[in-house]
Amino acid sequence: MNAVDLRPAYPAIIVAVTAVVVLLLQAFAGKGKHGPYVPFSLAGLAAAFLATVMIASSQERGLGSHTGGALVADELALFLEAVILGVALLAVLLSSSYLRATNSERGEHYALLLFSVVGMLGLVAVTEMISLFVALEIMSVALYALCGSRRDQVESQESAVKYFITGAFSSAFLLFGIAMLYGVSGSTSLGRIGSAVTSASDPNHGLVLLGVGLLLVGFGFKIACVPFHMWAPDVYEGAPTTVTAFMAAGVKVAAFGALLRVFGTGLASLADDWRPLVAILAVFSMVLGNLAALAQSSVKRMLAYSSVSHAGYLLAALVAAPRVSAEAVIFYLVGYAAVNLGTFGALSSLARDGREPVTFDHLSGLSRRHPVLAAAFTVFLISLMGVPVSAGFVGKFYLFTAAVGAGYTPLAIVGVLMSVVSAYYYLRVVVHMYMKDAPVEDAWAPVSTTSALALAVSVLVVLGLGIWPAGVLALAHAAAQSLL
Amino acid sequence: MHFTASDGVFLAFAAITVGSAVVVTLARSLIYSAFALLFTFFGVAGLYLLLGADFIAASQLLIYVGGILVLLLFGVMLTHKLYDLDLKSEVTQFAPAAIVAAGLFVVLAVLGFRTTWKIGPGRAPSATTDEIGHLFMGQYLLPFEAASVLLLVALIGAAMIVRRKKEA
Amino acid sequence: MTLQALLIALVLIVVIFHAHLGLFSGMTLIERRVLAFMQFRLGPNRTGPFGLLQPVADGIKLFFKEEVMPEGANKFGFFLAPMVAIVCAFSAMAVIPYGPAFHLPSFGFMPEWLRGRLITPQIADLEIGLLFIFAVNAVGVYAIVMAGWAANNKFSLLGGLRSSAQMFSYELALGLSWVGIIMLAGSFKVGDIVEAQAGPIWKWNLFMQFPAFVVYLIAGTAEVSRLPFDLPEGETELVAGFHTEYSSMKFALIQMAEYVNMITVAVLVALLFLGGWHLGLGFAAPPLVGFLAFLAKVGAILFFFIWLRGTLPRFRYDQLMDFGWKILIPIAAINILVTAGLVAFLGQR
Repeated sequence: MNAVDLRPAYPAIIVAVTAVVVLLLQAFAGKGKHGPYVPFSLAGLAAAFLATVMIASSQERGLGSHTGGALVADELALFLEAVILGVALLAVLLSSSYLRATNSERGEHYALLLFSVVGMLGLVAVTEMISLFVALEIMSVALYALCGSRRDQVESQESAVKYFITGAFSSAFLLFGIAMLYGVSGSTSLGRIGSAVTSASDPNHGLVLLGVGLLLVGFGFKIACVPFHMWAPDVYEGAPTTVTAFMAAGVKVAAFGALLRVFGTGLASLADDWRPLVAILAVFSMVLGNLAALAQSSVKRMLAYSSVSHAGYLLAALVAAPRVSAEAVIFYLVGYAAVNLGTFGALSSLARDGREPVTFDHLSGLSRRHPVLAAAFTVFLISLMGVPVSAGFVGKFYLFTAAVGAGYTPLAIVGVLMSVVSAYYYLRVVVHMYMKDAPVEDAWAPVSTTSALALAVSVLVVLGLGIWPAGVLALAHAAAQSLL
Repeated sequence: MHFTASDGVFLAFAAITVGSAVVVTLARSLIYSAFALLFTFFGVAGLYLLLGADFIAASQLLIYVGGILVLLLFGVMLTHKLYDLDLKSEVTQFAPAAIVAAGLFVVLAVLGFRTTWKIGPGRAPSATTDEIGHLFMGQYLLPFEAASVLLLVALIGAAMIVRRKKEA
Repeated sequence: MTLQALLIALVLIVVIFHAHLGLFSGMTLIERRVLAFMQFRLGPNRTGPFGLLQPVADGIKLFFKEEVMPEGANKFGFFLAPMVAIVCAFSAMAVIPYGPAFHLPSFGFMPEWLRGRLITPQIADLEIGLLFIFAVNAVGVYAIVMAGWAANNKFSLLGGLRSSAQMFSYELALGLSWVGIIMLAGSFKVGDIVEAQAGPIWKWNLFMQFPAFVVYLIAGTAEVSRLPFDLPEGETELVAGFHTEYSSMKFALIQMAEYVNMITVAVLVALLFLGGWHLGLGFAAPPLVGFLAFLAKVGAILFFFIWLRGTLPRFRYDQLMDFGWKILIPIAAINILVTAGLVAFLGQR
């Protein structure tokens, strides 16, 4: 029997084992008691992070890194795995006080979160379609359940059902696309699919196009780009806020990582065919996402539409994949993950007695009661806008440069214009926080230490990337190189 | 091309599969759909058998027929008043739906005939169990385990969602 | 497959099928007599010597009964259910070897190819043997669901649901209990599993796989809805469960399916755990002796089922479910784990 090299899977295995341990802690905690879920989860994630770093620093990672042709440990995978594990660490920190404030602390919550991380870790490292599908489903199924974890809220149930149905629907598209590509290439491995069809004169070209289109639809649902975004506002709004934070940050990183790999390596030779499609999706996402965000009265919904528009910005850079844009996308993902964790995390940290800020009015006068939190929130918002000295500025700069470099200058123009539009609704939050009085007595909780820690880290990442982007850019560059 | 016995068997299984699948989608009552799905699964198992995949055929019966569909029937029968409910889905926007469906059908049909499908070398029906076992425990260990993680996640998630409210 | 092999298979089918039919009618009588004995009664003893003709009388009676089609019943499902039941019950016997392979004697009237030919009393030696039995068993649940639903009777529906929930739950334990012995034999074929138990008596899976034996015996009893697991028919609550509305021949078919399933479980216990036709003495017995030993084992298990019925009260429904999910399945799973570890470190056997 040929031995399987499991090293690329170590981070995922560590996280999976941690999830099982957390589950058992719940089982043996006794009725009405809580086990030490948070320390265990943090320890497991940290160990996985360490494993990732160790694999990255070992010299021989390029050799024999294929695990049954399913997993690879190249720079791209390792870098995104590290990002995802960082996101998960912060999400666990945020969850601990939020779950207590909403009376929904359960071991399963952390276990599912960790399992979802397992799926994400797999998603950025797979080189084979069936494994990609399984990883995607592990991630998604765990998230469906997490969205519905607040049994006392109808909105939470609604979000779980909506996410589940649209998610299952999109998985079907993805599978159908994989089947088409398999029919042509006789393989599910990205490399073989890529070499099976190269020229447009090939008689199988039509089927390949269909397969690619279906794949794009499937991924489109996951990254919530227009026109596959309908679920996002309801799900983002209804899900427990820390789950939204984790989802908005983690799923974007994982799904775009997979998208980069699938379209950047496996289907790179067909780039002329899918580029226009991606460009159209990008334009629609940027325009509709931003316009819809203008009209929202709920902060969570506004942020959901904003995430749709950011999917558009990212797609705009993807048209140039893989030559220039992979590093732009990767760099942007890091900053964007931190910002998303920050904004939703800030909302969640104010939760008390099962209530939390939802509308713009709820945030009125926040600067007076929570000056530091309001300042942090402002940092996240200006990064979302793309104002200099923030990660968002540098990120957008590279994204649009990539689009221009690929000859899609109009895309970049639309992106810049829409960023200007977005300033309106982002600044609205700032206006509410700083220039309006709170109508009633402050109903919100003081920010807990763990949440404060997570938010502080997010702020540091956002500002750090904005002021000194070179370090992460170099890593992103190395990651992008591994795609070629 | 001449017609062999296995072609006939294939046609029979294909007819069972497609025919009952049509019933599944068109039946007014959920329970008819569920029972029709039984025959679809049988047809598919038959096709597997025809391809020499005896292990997969038996697993198909075991898992889809013996497991999933029974649970489906349970869901239908235990849900209040659902089992004799007439499903009258409103027909809205019939024309666009028909055009899209017909268009998709034409596209798929044309592609199906135009494409040179990648067909592996045929093999005589032989025991597959041993081979599958070695592949699962060897080369494909990781995807195999990942699939079990997926099932575990689904199980935990389902248990969490249906938990009684007061425990939450 | 040659024509000769086909002929032999046909003969085997006819013989095994009728053996089952005979055993079925015999069992109906034996069960009543043994039960009566256990309860200090006489039991049916009027029809023929010792009541031997009672099954025949029962059959004739059922034949002439009126076929009742309940109002509002779904005719298709109502007809189909007993057929599904009986087909599934009889399908399982296709892959079971009913005794050791033996050479035919050579008689003058036999054609040349039959003389001294090695015959395995098994209809089809499928590679996936046990898996096939398991799959067929799983399909059998539909007969019950369908019967319960089609009759348009709430007792039937409840009985059908209960019954299928029970079978479904215990099927898991049943399947898991087989995994250990499959690992030991390294094959799904029933014949291979029996051969793996050749030799001294401690080679029997009864000893090698004791937890699996206990789990299988219990789960098997539940699978065929015998006491103490006969909740689907719990007459105090559900009249007669899923077959409340059945009468005449359709009722007979359902009864037959149940008895045939019970016989199949008994045969499987004998083959999988009690060494089949091996005597456990360390040497190979002549085929006839082996066959008789096999029959004796099957008979003992069947008697055990009747004994259970005469002794134990019925489970409550929640106890039944708890027992299946929280006790049997974990035991079976741990057994698999331990067996797998032992096989990995010590090799098969």
